[in-house]
Amino acid sequence: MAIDAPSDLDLDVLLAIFGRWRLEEGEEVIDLADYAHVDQGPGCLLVSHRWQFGIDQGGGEVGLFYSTRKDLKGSLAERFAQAIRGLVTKSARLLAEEEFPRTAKARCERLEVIANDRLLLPNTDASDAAVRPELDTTFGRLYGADSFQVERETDPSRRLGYKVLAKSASGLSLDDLEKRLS
Amino acid sequence: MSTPAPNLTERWARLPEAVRTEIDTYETELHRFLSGQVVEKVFLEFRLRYGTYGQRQPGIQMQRIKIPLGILNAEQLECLADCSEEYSDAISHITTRQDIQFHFVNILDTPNLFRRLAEVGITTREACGNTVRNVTACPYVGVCQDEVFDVTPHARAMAYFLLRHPDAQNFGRKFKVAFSGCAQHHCGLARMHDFGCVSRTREVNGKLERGFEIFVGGGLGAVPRQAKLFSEFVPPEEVLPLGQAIARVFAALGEKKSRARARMKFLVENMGIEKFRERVLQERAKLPEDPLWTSYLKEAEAATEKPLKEGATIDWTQQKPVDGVKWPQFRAWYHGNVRPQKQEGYSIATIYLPLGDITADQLRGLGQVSRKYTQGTVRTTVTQNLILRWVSNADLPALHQDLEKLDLALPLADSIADITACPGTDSCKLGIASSRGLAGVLHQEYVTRLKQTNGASAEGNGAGGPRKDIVVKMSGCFNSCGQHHIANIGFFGTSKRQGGKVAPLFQVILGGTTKNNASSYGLMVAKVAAHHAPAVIHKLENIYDSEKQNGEDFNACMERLGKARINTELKEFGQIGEEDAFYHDNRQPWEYIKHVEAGECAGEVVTHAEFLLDEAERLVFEATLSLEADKTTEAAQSACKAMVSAADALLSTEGLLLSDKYDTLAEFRTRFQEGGRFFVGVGEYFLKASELDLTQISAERARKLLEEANLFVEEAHVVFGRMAGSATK
Repeated sequence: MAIDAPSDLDLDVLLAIFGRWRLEEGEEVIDLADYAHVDQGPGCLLVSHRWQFGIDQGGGEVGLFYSTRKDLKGSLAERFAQAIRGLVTKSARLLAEEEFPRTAKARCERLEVIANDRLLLPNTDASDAAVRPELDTTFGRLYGADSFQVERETDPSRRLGYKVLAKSASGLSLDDLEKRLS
Repeated sequence: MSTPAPNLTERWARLPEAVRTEIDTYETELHRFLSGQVVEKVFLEFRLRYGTYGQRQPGIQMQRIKIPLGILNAEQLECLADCSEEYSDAISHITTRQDIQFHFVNILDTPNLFRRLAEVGITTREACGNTVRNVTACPYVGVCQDEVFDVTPHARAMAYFLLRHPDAQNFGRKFKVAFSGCAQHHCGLARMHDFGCVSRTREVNGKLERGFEIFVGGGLGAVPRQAKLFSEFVPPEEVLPLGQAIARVFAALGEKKSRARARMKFLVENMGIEKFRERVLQERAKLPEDPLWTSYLKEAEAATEKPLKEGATIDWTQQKPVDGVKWPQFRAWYHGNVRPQKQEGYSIATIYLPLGDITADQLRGLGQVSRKYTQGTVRTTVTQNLILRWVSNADLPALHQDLEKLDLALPLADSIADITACPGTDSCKLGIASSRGLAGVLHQEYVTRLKQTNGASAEGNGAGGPRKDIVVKMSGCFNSCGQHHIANIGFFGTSKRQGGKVAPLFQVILGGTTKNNASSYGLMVAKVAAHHAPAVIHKLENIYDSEKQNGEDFNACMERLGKARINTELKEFGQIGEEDAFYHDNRQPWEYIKHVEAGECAGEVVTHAEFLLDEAERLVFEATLSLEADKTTEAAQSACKAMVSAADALLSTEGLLLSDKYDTLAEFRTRFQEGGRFFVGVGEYFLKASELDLTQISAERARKLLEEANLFVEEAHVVFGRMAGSATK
């Protein structure tokens, strides 16, 4: 999910925040990985057995990313919804942290979804044909049917991925997204 | 939803059969372990031999990927990028032995990870464990201006000759091999290895002959040892058999019980180099001729690496060689990261990687860059960077632009900012202090300074980047994975209890060098608070700059000043105060807790016999699956192989090596069956099975054979347990 963040966003604040979360979330969290030294990297990454959460600086934009690794259940649409719910919950918590820049705002109308398994879902037209209806179902719940645009990753060497943009951004909050998915 | 899941069975069937079988075996063993059928210590060493290593954090793995000589092609870079995204955290980490590591890997993902790597010719086999680790080589060989000759074909031949070799499967510890193209430089580090080969020539009857100066028994770790000279000249055709002979001697005589004394350096020290040499040469004389020893040599003589483009010179009078070049940044990068090749018109460009890390996008982008400017190859370095060779000088400005777009053009290569650091407490079970945290703090400092100056000096020639006359390396503990012994300024992590708290500290080591293949190791001079460690470097720089005489280098200056003086100078950094900062490690805003576990590279020894017994059990299991699937002949074959493995396990305790190609049946009969050491009735099953025609076997007989094999393997366990004094099951 894209965020509007200061251009000089200090990634080190994540060390303190995730350091605290690590203790609070107990055994599920494995650790945090500090990659602040890597340009275009994830900054500081919170790693659990089920998910990873951190900053995404790829493509010259700043965003928050949440990667689910296991335990997703149901149809693909339901799995998308579970992953996005995970992202929304973690993002809301991060943006509410005092150390995180108060000016940073989630751009709830701009989401990117990536299928993280080239073996199961290679970036092909056949995969797209199978995935797209499920994606439409999920984003229909989020933004309303026909109220969003989807742009597929065209580079076949990259994972099957979609940039989704809501046609109207007015007043959409993380709370709204969470409610619409629950 | 039905997704068009590709047919993976078909895809994996295209892998070479031996590789496919090896990975299938790993997967079977993994599932047997998860269902409680394999003893933990056996599985631990088994998975280590596939490069799968337990991280400090429970339930998660580090996957080491073997890159012989650090050579990677574009397709491999792209595959690594893809796999790091899907199975790790999208970061590939270059190690000090030219490997690549992924962190936070789920062990259930490893079989498919191995298959995907195998598709592009990469194996993780023997990347960890008590095996021959990645064979390293100076990355500049073939293009270095003052090398003796290119060792690439010889090092590659050694890597693949010893990989999976039966004589290299029964060590008490790891075995590290390195090749260097010259005696004087810092790039090969041959003299800190178990087996180091340094290229040299000699003149015989007016003819120049190529060969190697051989060193043995070097190593860092808690007890560092300089390698001893084994031979001043070994011809190329003798290098592989010599490696095999050394491996056999290490397997036969190396310490197996005390892990702390099991590296080859201790064997060489205990025997003395003369006796060790004598024993190795005796072993060499006994070896049956192997065509692999020399089959690569003709190819080696003819091998030349070809550039993609014609060589050229840079026209420094032009300010705009290509559109959009940022001239000051290019100059800084050129002076910092580019060096000329011996081949006129070409350069080697170093891609500086902070802490050895690179993202998946960067790695993928680098694959494209390597195709654009070279024949599509890169090499990893022991300083945790990447290099591009054979870049036409005319392409350098454009290459710099492309690397800038990938954020891979920091001009810090081979400078004081180009710090080597092991994983430390970030992921290693042995870590005491955060070596990566300290390296991260220093990286930020140097990058900030660089941004202030754009790397430009007052003369405007781009030579004003960080100094290159001091090398800094750091480890999270005394085991020296960050190679702190061979740095001008080295650090290793330690700790100190003060009141109710524990403070992370670093020992400061001065005077080591990577030059002359790491010919001297540094010594401890002081212990400092972890959070003061960056300031210690700056203090030592200042002392050197203000006190050096007659152009002496850093080590000479420190030696002249003496340890007592340096210790006094650093005393202020060793005081542990009450402030919170003393009890936090670098880049870790939480209170420091000392937590050290047994490292897996220093875990228990699993003997060859234990491995073979486990293999026998796996084969019995596979026979059961085959029988269920009505594959009678396959079931019978697996059952028979299980008995052979179990018998070989027992024979290995008698000193027999698989590479000797002995007759298992005959040896088993003589040594165990007739001697009454094996239950006779069960032993008969093995002897009778050898007479069966397995292609014509009935389902009923195959079932019986499976039961017999099971009993035979069980009895072998009992006999082995009796011999070892304790049962293994």
